Formats: sequence, structure tokens, C-alpha cells
Amino acid sequence: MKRLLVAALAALALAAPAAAATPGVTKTEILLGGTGPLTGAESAYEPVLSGANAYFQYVNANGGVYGRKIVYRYLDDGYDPARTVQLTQQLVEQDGVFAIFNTIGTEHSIAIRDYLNQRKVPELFVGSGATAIGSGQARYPWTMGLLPSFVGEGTIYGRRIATAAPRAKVAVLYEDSVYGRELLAGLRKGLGAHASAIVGTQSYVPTEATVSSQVLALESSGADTLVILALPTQAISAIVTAARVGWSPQEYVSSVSIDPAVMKIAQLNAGPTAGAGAISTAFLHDPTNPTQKNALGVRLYEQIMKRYLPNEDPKAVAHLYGMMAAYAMVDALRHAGRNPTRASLLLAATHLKETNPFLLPGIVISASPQDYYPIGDTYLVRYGNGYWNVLGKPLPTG
Amino acid sequence: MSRRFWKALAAAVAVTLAAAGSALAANTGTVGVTVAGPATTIHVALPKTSDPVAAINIFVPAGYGASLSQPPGTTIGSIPSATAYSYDTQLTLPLTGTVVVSSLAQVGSSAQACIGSATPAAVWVLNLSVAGQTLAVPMYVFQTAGAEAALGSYKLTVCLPPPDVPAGTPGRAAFGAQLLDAEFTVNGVFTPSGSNPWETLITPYNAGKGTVNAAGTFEARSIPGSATVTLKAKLNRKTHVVTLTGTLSGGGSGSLTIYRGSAAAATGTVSGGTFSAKLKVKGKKVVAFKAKVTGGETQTSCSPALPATVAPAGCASATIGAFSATSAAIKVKP
Repeated sequence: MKRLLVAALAALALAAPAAAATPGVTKTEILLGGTGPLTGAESAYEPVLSGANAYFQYVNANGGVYGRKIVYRYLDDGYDPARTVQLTQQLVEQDGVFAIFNTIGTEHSIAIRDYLNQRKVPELFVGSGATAIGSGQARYPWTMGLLPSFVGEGTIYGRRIATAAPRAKVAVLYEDSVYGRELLAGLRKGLGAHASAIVGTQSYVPTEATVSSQVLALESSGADTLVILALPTQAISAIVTAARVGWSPQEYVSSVSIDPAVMKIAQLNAGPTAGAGAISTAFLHDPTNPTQKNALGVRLYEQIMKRYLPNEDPKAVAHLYGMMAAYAMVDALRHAGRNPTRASLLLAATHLKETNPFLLPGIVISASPQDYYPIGDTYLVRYGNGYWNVLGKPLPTG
Repeated sequence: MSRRFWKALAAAVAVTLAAAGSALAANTGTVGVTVAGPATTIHVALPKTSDPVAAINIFVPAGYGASLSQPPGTTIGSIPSATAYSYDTQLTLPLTGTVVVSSLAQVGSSAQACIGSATPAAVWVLNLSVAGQTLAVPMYVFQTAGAEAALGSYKLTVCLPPPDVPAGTPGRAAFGAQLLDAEFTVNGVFTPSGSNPWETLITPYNAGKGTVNAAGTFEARSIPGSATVTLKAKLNRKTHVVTLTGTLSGGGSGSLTIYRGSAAAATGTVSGGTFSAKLKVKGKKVVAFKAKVTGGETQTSCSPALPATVAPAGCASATIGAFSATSAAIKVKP
């Protein structure tokens, strides 16, 4: 009798409609929430959200996920972590979202993860490669990043310098934030025994739009290599300043600053050789690069941009990043089952193995309960003839 | 026309402007217009050495028709190139974008500051983008009436916020962006008529103050670029060389491309209104040749300028717009 009761309860549990119990999931809809800077100085990241939303619209037009349409409600936090907290609470408590997806910013994600983990709300595919996000799963199992490890990216630059130019004198410009400090730590790690090659470091705070004084100080250090661990605005300022004063170091530029517009702006302001030969890392397709124009992901990207974002700039690679993240989210939702719960979504995300068309060939998304860095590899790229061109094979960032 | 008339016109044009300041610098700028079939291209160039611009009023010549019934959201044109200088980053930014039909409700409170309570016949938005960041610049289209009708049948009004005031000043331009150059094309909107020039009135700010310098309003005139190209061919049957000669109207100059079928076969320049080229023909099939000539903007005399009551700072430029003209096809039978 007891065995019969257990079996009956199990059957009942399986048959129970998740829609009735799971916030944000109805028979026709899955409601996701997110935040990011839609306005203000960091609004260059807006395409990360609109690109993701465009991909969801594309999926919805093709049947959705098990017949449910994805509704992505993303709100403007102005890149202010305090506002991220307020809006995330609103999304969870008032709007009743199923999960938080694609939060932009390391500090912003950290600001909401206590709240979300206490409530067991998935915080998936955060736009950060910080250690605090990627290695925090023991304490924060409901929070998972997406970007390759910042430390890992810095390590790749360090190793490259140590092997390609072991006598280099290295100057470093870095953002005084978790992002910049972790990249710098990785650079030192990658340089290894050559860590003393760093002859100068200068930092900036994110509100500084120009870094000319820092670059001039670095030039005076006698360095022949400049590592720019900066967001796009400051990276452009650094490249332009170096070119204007006739300083031609081997430049390394962190991967968040390789949008095609960065070098275009630098060259408009400092001449056609500014930034030439710079090295960075890339894991995403570049829709502006003619050598990638026939890739499946680029063609899909162009199709979605034309259909759903006809008045936004298709050259802004952040759109493609947003679509890549949304592709992973849709994959996780599908693996979460026909009657998804927050727990089944987390389970799916932590066992995701996919070939994502928006990623460069050879790079896959792979996560496990022990590995919360879904993108574990990246390519070295070099800037030449107007594009970032892939060098060699994928390199691990872990 | 009477002094009273021009005074009335000046008052009408100044509807968007605040109290007058004094014109200190010799501000300048050019406006070039090209009309090619259903496409109208307007190129505004404002040097960085001039004071930032508060308002631009472009008058579509009298006699032109306009189709303004497109619903909001319709993309009616493109912005293939534009540049702006950012006081925040101290960088010149390359911009591209689209021209999209909007509405007063969509553009919000910025309309009131620009055009007061006037009701435009259409609202367009110039979406200027770089690296995912977009500057949305509303453009208000009015059918002119009264005194303004002397300048044209329609008026395109753009207001720009001041870029060179301290960061944090209410109403400052996003990123401290000062527009330097913008070329935009609208398709299927204007129907050209006659050869009247396009008049533009450009009103600067007082540098660094963010106050409108109405007395600094200047005129930038544009004569739409147009040209015709003729082409003749003479074949030497012994050498199989065809000599192509042609003319460009007005004795003008430009860049020449000769097409054999649809493929470019030769390039060169036209000067003094004539050109020639020699090409070898093979086989016995009939070959069709065409000549295409393109030319950039050129400057011409602004005389007579608009009265000082309309453009107190005088006429800064008169621009003959860029042009592109293609000859009829000439068939050659070897």
C-alpha cells in the first residue's frame, strides 16, 4: 500500500502542470527579465539586450520553445548597480519572471546574486568573465556567467608576450575595476618568469572618457609593448594618443574593445596606421569581416537584424553577442523540458553542451556543475587590413 | 519685396530660437543637394572651427511636391556617412544610420523646445549610430505658409542641443556631440520642379554658453547638382579599336567610367566638358557602351544673398550639389 502511495504521488508530481506552480511560465509564454544600460554613457551595451530580444522574436516566429513564446522584459539600469538591484526586485516580485537573463556588468550581477540565490531564481549567462561570477558556484549556484574568464584572457596575452617577445618592455593601461584588475592579474600570470617585463602600469576609473595622460606616462616608461585592458571609449583614447605622439608599441587590446567601430574611430582620429597589428582575443563572429560573411551564424545574424532590428546598426557586434547569449538561453530552456521549473532550467544550464552558430568555429558552449565558464576557449586575433583576423587554434582561458 | 515682408519672414523663421545674442565668430557651413529620380540627398557640412549649431532650417524650393503620408516606423532613407565631434571623448566619431518616420508623440518633449506648439506635416528621426550607440535627431517637416513660402514650399527643421557646455548641464548634447557633417538621402518623398535653389538658414550657439545666437543666423544656399552626358562611338574596323567621345553639360568636370555592357571597361576624368577613350573590341557580337560621370560639390557665388532680416550673418556659401549622370547606351557592331 505504501509503495502504491509513493508511486501515485510521483505520478501526480510528474503530471502536475508546471505552469501553475512556476513563476513566469504559462501555457503560452515564458517571461524572462534582464537589466542593462539602455541610456547613458554605457549605452553602447544596449545592443546586447536588443540583439538577444531580436533572437527571441526569431525563435517565437518559428514556434517558440515547446509552443511557448519567450517574452524578454529588459529594463534600463543606467549602468548603476543600485538601480540594477531595484529593477531586478521589480522583475522578480512584481512581474514574476521565470529567470533573470543576460545581466550586463560584473558589479551589477554581484549586486543582485544574493537576492536571486536566496530565492532560487536562475541568474543565467551574466555578461561577465569575473572570477567572482565564474568560480562562485559553491555559494551561488543559481548564478552563471557567459564570457570567458578575464584572468584567462589576460593569461593568454601574457603567454603570447613571453613567447613572441621575451625581451619586451610592457606597459599596461587597465580599468580600476574587477574587470581590469583580473585581466592584469592574468597578464602577470601568463608572463610567468617574465613578469618583471612590466615597466609601467596606469589605471583609470570608468567615468574617465580620455586616458591621454596615462598613455603619455606609459610612453615615458620606455615600453615597446602596450597592453590596453580597457572598455571601448578608453581603448580608442589610448590608441589615438599613442599614434598622435608617434609612439608605436606592439598593442594588445582586451576583447571587449574589438567592435569594428573601435579601430575605425581610432583611425579617423589618428590616421590609417593607428592600431595596425594590434592583438586581441575573439570568440564571436565578426559580421563585418568579409572572410566570415558566409558563416551560418553571420547569415542568420544578418537575417534577424534585417527582420527585427532594421533601424539599428548591424555593424555593432554587441548585437551578435546578445544573439549568441539568447541562443544559449533557448537551448537551456529546451533542455529544461516541456514543463520547466527554475530547478530544471538550472540543471539544463549546468549541463549545456552546444555548438552555437554565433561563435567562431571550434568554440563551443560547455558547462557543468563544476564549470561555470560556459565559453572556455578563445582565439588570438590580429588587426590588419581593416579587420580582426583569427590566428591559429582556439586557446583555453581556464 | 518689401522690408515689412522680410521682417515678417525673419520672425517666422525664428520661431525656434531664443533671445538673440551677438555674432562674434565668422561661422560657416555648406549645404549640398542632389536630386536623382525619387532620391533626394542633402549634405550638411559644419566645420569644427565654427560655433556649434542650434538650429538648421532647410527650405525645399517652391514648386516641389512632397509625399508625407508614410506611417510612423517607415524607413524612408539612409545616412551613409556623418561625423560628429565628441567633447567628452575628444574624438571625431563616424556615424551611419537611417531616416525613419516618427511622430510628435514618439519624439516627446524635445519637439516643444524646438518648434513650440507648431504642428508639423511630418516628423522624421535621423538615427545616427556608432558602435551600437545612437543619436536620434528629430527632423520636423512643415508645409510653409505666409512669409516663409518665399523661401520654399516645405521646411525641414532640426534643433541640436549644445555640446560645448560643461558636462552635467541640463539639455547638453549626449556625449557632448557636435555635428560636423551629415549626408542623408530620402526616397520617394520629394518631387522636383524647376531650378530654384534650396535655401538653408543655420543658427549657431554662442560658443561655450549654450545660448542661441539668433543674430548669427547665416544662409547656406544649394543649387541641386545635375548634368547630362552624351556619348559617340567610332570603330576602326582594321584595328578593332573603338574611339568613344563625349560631352558633359555645362563644360563641367568629374570622374568618368566607361561601361562595356554592365562591366566597367575604363576610367578617367572629364575636364572642360569633354572626354574620350579608346577600347578594343573582340568578336562579332554587338557591344553596348555607356559613359557615367560623377562630380563632387563645387562652390559658386551667393549673390544676391537673402536680406539681413532673414540671415543677419549673411550668406556663408552657395554650393552646387554633387551629381551623377549616365549617357544613353551606344551600340557598336564589330
